[in-house]
Amino acid sequence: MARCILTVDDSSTMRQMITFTLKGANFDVVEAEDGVHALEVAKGRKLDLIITDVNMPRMDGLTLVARLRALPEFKFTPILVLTTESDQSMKMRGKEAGATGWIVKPFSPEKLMDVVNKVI
Amino acid sequence: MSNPMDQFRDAFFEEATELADGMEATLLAMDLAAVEPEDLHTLFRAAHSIKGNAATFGFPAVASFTHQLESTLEPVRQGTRPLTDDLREILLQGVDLIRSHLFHARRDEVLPEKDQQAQAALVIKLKEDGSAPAAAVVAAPVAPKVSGTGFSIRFEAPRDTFRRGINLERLFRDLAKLGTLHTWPDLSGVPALELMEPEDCYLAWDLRLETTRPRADVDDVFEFVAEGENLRIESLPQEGAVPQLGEILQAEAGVSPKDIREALSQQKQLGELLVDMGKVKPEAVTKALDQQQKKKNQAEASTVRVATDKIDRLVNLVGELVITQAMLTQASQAGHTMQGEEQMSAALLQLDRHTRELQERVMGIRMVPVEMVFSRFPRMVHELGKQLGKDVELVMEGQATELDKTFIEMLVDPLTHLVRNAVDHGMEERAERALTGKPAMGTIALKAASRGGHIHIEVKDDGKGLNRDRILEKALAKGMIQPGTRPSDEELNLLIFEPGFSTLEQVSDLSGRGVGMDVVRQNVRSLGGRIEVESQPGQGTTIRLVLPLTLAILDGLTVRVGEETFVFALASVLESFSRQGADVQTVKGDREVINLRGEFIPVVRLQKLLGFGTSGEAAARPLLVLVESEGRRAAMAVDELLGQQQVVIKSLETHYKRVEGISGATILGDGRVALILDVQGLLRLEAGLVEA
Repeated sequence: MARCILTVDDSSTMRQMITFTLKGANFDVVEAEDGVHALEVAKGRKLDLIITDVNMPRMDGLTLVARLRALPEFKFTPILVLTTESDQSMKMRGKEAGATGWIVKPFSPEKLMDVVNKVI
Repeated sequence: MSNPMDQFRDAFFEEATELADGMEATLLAMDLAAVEPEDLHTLFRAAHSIKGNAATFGFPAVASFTHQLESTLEPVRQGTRPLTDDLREILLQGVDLIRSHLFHARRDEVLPEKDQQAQAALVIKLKEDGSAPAAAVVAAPVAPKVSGTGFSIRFEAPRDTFRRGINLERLFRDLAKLGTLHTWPDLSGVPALELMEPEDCYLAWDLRLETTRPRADVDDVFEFVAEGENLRIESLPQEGAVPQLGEILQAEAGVSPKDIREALSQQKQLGELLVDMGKVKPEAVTKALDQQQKKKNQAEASTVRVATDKIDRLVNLVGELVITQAMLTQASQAGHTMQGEEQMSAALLQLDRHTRELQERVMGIRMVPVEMVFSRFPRMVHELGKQLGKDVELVMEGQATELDKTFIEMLVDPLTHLVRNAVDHGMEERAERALTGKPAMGTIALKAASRGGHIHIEVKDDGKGLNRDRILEKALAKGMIQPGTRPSDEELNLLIFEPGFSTLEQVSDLSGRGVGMDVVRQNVRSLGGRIEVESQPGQGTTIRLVLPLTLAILDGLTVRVGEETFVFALASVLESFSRQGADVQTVKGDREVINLRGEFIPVVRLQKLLGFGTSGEAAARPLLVLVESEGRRAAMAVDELLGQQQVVIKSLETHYKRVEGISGATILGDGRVALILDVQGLLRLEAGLVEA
């Protein structure tokens, strides 16, 4: 059974790019527009990895990570956050929230796959 | 489709334009007296999204401008900067510019001049108006690309490893992909069962990774778990270096690094033991250690360490020589018989071979790897780059190339100067590199190689190259060349090594001081070497030091001029030919030039130049030897070519005094003394630059 990844970003272009890349690597992909939406999508689903942007309306990425970690089924699931280069402190804050790692924007599809392969 | 990103292009432009429209609508709808925080977040998010997407999908100009807007919005969002009417106006202009950027980027056009000016003005406003932070550019650490034998790693997994969903198994698998991995788990951090937090990670590992991959690859594997103190990565000793006992025990007997550390911590130094026994005062021990260090330093300066196998081979060779000598004695006793002659020539042949080998091996004792000079540069380049705000990396090649020990010492200053110059003057500023489309990271290459009896050491940068127009201008101004002459590119390049020459009006803090380029040339010359410069405008400069293998022996061409025998360094001889049939013309009354394939080359009369014999005989000399030094050529008139041979150089300076045009003397096979000609000096004499 193909492994399933949830990608969360308010930018549809970014979601498309990530989804396209991951599907090309034979993953199942589900999408969400923001943190609140992501919690709904994740509910009752078996996910192998979650990739989330940080700056999003309604619920930001870091809150989403903390909320997911509080749920028993996502306690140990790998979660990657998308950060920008100029924002080094975001990596620390991501870690504190419980994120497994990060992908620094801008990134290429190759870089995305490198990091994904690093955590699952 | 060539670029997988292309298919998202349209989607990106549509979304970015929507976001910009949204920013405008939000800005216009805002009541400045009662600003809704959510509106500020929306503005910030929009700018942030446009920036991130633009960078990802390959529109850096859009990204960098939007970054300025985002930076301005950050303090506003945090509530540390009020959103005034003026600021709203500026932000609206910013949104217009984003739209213009998007419009033109979509058509693969550059931003029109008018908008570029508007942008420059706006960026200043964004900055002076508040405390917009400059774009944070983090200089990547410069890691020299030296491949080693691997790494010794101590890794203590973070407590929250499991709770962050980190897969340690995956990490070790990635690590093992880099090379051969040995692991020693350390369970000493695991607490008693009743004290254990079940979701905490208490594990640690000592790892030994044998690999030729660079450190950066290892760092990359640990990216998400490195928290400073919990990860220590050390390089394993270089190939050929003598490993520590602990290293061997670790690799061969599987003793864990932790046990070795513990054992070592229990070891005590002799001084400490004696102090403990009350036999000596601590101060006395410190003093003794100082003294020991001084002695060590002295000894290191005047000795060469030689591997025993090199000495063993020498002893073998001496044995062979003794046998050859016996053969010669026997042959000489056999007298002038057919058999005797045969024996004699066989023995002489062997003697010749052994002498040559002995010579090479003895010279080899003085040879040390060039790495001894190179090793200082990674750090230096790193610090220079930081100081000058340039991103440079150093690539080194051929560190194992061997050089005479004297050379190593004499090369430190010139190379330091050349490398500094390359970073300081050769490398462009970041902005300039970006403009010319070069990679942001500049590369300085330091290479050593052995080529045909010479050692080549290169300092190469991918910077802006030499500005030959500037050099020409300067050289004319300083009177280094005559107006109206057309020096070749090569000659122009070499002018930078003339004393008192510097193309930079304002000497920078770094390169302007200390040894100058003329000192570089002086040192290289005194080693019997020469300098070559290659430079392409916009592509960089290569400065090559061509050095002889050793100072003591020279491959020479012996010639006869009148009654005298002279030796040319073979390296400076291009060709020799008969004067007969050559196109020699007389100019300025008594000077001669030869037209060689369209190039006019001065004919040099050695006896006139060096002041021996009587002049006027030159016309009679039947042969011409074409020599070259530093891009200048001359034809030397000689009577006879006596042959090529290796000669042992004896210094004239130490026994007599320095003579321009003569680099030393040698004793020939028949016991006569011959002078070794310094082609460079001769050409200077000929040009009238110095007095004989």
